[in-house]
Amino acid sequence: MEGRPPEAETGREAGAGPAAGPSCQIDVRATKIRGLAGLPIYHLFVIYKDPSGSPYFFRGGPSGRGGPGGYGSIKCDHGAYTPGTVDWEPGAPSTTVMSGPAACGKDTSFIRELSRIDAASIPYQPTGPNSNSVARTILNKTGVPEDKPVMIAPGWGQIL
Amino acid sequence: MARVEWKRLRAAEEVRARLLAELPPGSDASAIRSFATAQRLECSDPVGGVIRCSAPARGRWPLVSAKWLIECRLEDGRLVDIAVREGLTGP
Repeated sequence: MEGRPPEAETGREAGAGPAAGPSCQIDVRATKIRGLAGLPIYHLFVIYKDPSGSPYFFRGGPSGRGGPGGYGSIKCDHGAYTPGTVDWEPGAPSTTVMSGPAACGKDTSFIRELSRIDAASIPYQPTGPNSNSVARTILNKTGVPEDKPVMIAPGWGQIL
Repeated sequence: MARVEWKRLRAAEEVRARLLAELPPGSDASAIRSFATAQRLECSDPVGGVIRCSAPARGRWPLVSAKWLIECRLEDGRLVDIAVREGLTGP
């Protein structure tokens, strides 16, 4: 079963009471990989919403140069999640893995983990290690519950 | 304006040159929006002086899709430069 599409990218849930302090949210989202007929395979990435509701993405992918198969190493990226960014897909399946004050500040930890993974120059493989391994790892290493909105995400089992 | 066949362009520098031919420095945000609409690009609003857009690129592997990631840098509402890089997405 796939996760629900995310709520609007900004703004709080309808009917939410007054906030008791800063509140943030962390989602894991999935986009479908094109190129394999009939087989639903997904790319996972992480979205962090800051206290104002602004979304930021954290993701990995192939660098595209060198390495086994020519995929290169795992290259990580992060930034404001807007149209024109690599994983932009507002209706993507999504699952919220953490929300509330405890989620605030996890973005800094995600950036630290992405830098560590980049520096390790890990060869990318479609079956893993890959972008799904990056998503799982940044959750695992920062104390965020590890869950995903879709079933088939090769590499999810690998912690980098 | 002829439709750009983004997937036929092989290098980021080639994409940048094609964009600058249509959007020379000094173009304003409305010109960028018009171009983006005509070429069916997905673009952000200006944020911090940057309009981000993406265009389809030719994938090299069955499980990895590619996009051209375009950053139009504005100063005082006018285009000063365009940066392009390839963004790859796989499992």
